[in-house]
This record gives sequence, structure tokens and C-alpha cells, in this order.
Amino acid sequence: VGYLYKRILTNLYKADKSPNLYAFVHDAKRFALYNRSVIEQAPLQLYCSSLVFAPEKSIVRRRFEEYIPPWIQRKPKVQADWNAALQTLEGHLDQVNSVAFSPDGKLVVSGSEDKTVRLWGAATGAANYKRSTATQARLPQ
Amino acid sequence: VLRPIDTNYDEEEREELVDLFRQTVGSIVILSDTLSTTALTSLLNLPMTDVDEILKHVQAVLDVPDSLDLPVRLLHPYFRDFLLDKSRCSDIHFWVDERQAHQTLADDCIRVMSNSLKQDVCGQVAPGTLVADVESSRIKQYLPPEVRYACLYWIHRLQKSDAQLYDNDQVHQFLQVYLLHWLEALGWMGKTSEGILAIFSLEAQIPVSLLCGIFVQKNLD
Repeated sequence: VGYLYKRILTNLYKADKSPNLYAFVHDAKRFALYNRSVIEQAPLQLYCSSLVFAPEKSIVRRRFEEYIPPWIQRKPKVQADWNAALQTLEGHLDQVNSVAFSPDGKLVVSGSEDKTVRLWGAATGAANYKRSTATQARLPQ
Repeated sequence: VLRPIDTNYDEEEREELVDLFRQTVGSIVILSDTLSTTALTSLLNLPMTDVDEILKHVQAVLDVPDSLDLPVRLLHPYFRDFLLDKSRCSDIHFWVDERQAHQTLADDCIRVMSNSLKQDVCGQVAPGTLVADVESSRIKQYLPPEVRYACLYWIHRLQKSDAQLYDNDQVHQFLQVYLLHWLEALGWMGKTSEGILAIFSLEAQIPVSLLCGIFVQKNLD
């Protein structure tokens, strides 16, 4: 019992040492996921768009606020915190008819009125694959 | 293969060579990518002449091209196992402590990134510049191979080193200054998704007790 007690104490102690780092990395994850497509296409938007639209309480926003360019004088009103939406999968040009996960949970597939079927990485939201179809795409139920 | 180092040098030179050997060849076998002699030299922060000399000694097991800008390759995967396994390494001097080697490389990566990354690292000025509109040769010029390696692999190396991460340690300090510049560099390199996956694994590596985890989660979400 003494050994167990000691182990629990050690673990609690360890956790005590890194709450700020954990919170920072967690926030960085939300920030990077939410802005993935912007970073991929135009990395400099990190400073003048991603930061400006990040929630007020975001640790990343607070830490890097000084990088918001001075010519942005009136900043948009943003939500206080990150919400439930991790990210938006952008690409389809029309209404999306159906969405499904692969059995291993690693991929997302979507079919749309824009006559394409698209594959996405479930973890990062990266667009993996696109295929045009003859008609508006809908997955079999 | 390693014998010449034994016989042709006096004690002090030998020590130095073995040390260099561990740093260079020990790094090459755990890189998970290939780098040129030039890139290795910058990454490991060693004099070119030293790296060059060591690589000459191990040409039987490494493919060392004449050009310093072409990648050095491992010829025998067996050599890697041999160096990393204490029981199989006939001379303990040459044994490479894998964890330690990963830790050293992680430190090197953080040093290289801290010296190179900055806002608008490719000198594009216009905030709307699209990655697709910038020539890849220009991106490679501003982000040389050792910097690209460091950006892509620093978290992998850190993971393999089993290092404990704490508040205000070098990882925390690095992220607090360079997070956005690192993400920017990954964007130019077309490696944003790799970066996000790396952040996932970094998050998983930070020790957090269940209680503390719930507490943080509640505060953030």
C-alpha cells in the first residue's frame, strides 16, 4: 500500500509540473486544426487572419497578439472560447448529401450535389482524394 | 569496419573520434530520413572537416556521395541494429544510446529552428501570398534541408527520447516564441497535416493526471 500511495503521489506531482504546457499545446492543437486550410494555402494569414479570428481566451491568441498587423484597427467581435466545432472541411462546391466514417475511423467520405465524392483524413481534415461522379453523389445507406 | 579507429590513433585522438562517431553516425542511424553532409553539419553544429573525416572511416557501411549536398545513406540496416544493441555491439565505445541520441537530435532541431524561423521566413511581404504562387526553389532557399528536417521531425525525436515535459522547459519556451513561425514554415513546405499530427502526439506525451486533465479540459472547452 505504501508503494502504491507513493506512486500516486509521484504521478500527481508530475501533473502539477506541466498544466501550463498542457494547456498551451491543447490550445495550439485547436488553433492549428481550425486554421489548417488557411495555413496550407497562405501561411502568412496566420498573423493577420487566424489570430484575429481566434477566440478571445485562446492562449495562442493572447501569446501572439502583438503579431496582429497594426493596420487592422477594428478587430471583429469573436467568441470567448473555442466551441464544439473542431474544424470545417472545405472543398465541396454545393450541398453535401451524405457523410460516413471508414470502419477504422481514419477516413471520412462525403458525397455532394457538386458531383464529387471526397475523402478526408479524420484526424487532420486534410483532403486526401476527390473523384467526380456522373450524377449528384449520395452514399448508399 | 571500426577497427582502423582503434589502431591508428593515440588515446586522446581516439576518444575524440569515438565521440564524434557517436554524434554523427549515431544520428544518421536514427534520423528516419536522409540528410546531406552539409545539412548534417548544420543540424549537429559540428565542423565540416570533422564530419567529413568520420564519414570517410565508415564508408563500408554508409553510402557517402562525393557531393556534400547529396544525402548520406545507410548501406546495411544491420549496422543500425548493431550500433543500437548493447549486447551485439562488440566494442562498448561504439554503442549508441538510442534514447540519448534522440534527445540530442531533438535539442539540435530546436536550436536550428530557433536560429532560422521568423515571421515571413520566405520574404514574401504580401500577407495574401499563396503557397501555390511561390516557386519551390525559393522556399527551399529560405528553408534549407536541416531546417525542413527540424520542423518535420523535432516532435518525433522528442517522443523517442522519452523525455518528461514540464512547464517552462525548453519545449514550452520554444513553442511560446516560435509556434506561429513553425506553423508558417510547415505551410510553405506543404506539411501542415504532418504538423497537426505532431501536435497530437506532443499533447499525448505531456504527463497529466486524470483529475488535472478534466480540470484543464473544462477550462478550455
